[in-house]
Amino acid sequence: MSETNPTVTEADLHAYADGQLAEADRARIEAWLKDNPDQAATVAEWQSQSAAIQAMFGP
Amino acid sequence: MKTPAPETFEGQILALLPSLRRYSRSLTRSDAEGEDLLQDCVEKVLARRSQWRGLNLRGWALTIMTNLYRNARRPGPRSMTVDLDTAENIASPEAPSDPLERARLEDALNSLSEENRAVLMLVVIEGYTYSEVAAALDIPVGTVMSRLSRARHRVAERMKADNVITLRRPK
Repeated sequence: MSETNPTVTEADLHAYADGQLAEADRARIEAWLKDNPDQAATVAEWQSQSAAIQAMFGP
Repeated sequence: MKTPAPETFEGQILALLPSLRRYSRSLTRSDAEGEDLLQDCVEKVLARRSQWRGLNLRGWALTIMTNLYRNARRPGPRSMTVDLDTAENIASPEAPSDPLERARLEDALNSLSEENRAVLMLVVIEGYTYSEVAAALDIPVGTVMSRLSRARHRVAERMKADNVITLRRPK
């Protein structure tokens, strides 16, 4: 819940989008995103950006 | 020449080649120029091997490549024309299914500064952790984060600018 985790930074959101968080942090951000649809949309957008870039340059 | 044993310096460089090649392609946006940059980088890495302090060879090689690329670009924009032989080698990696979307993405990536682009590419293409990017480019992690943020927001803006279809997922 966002009440118990009031501090989510943009850096956390990037780390979440990039799969660079430890499991506990990942779960914390995921719960926070459920209450914050605008940020959730931004994260989804970053992830689709990444997928498109990977498709463009991937091995 | 025999294939060098994996534990030798040459062997380690050899193992890094696919990763270095992807990065050179993403920097130059061209297979042919990417190969040139890769070759220059490997030459420089081999010539400077005595300066390597024994840690993070990949980061060290990527830094050398980033600097080579930056220095080569400094005099001014490169000619956009290519001869026909070279033209055949221009990168045409697996395209996103929608060519228009792909063109937009390419345009958006091209609009990024070298600095922001390098960070985005290392994170997204190479799967580097933020601290690995910081080490490779010799910048603080905070700078990695602000460059990554700028790159992503900028790409998102450019993708939307002339696009009525939003990238947002349906709720």
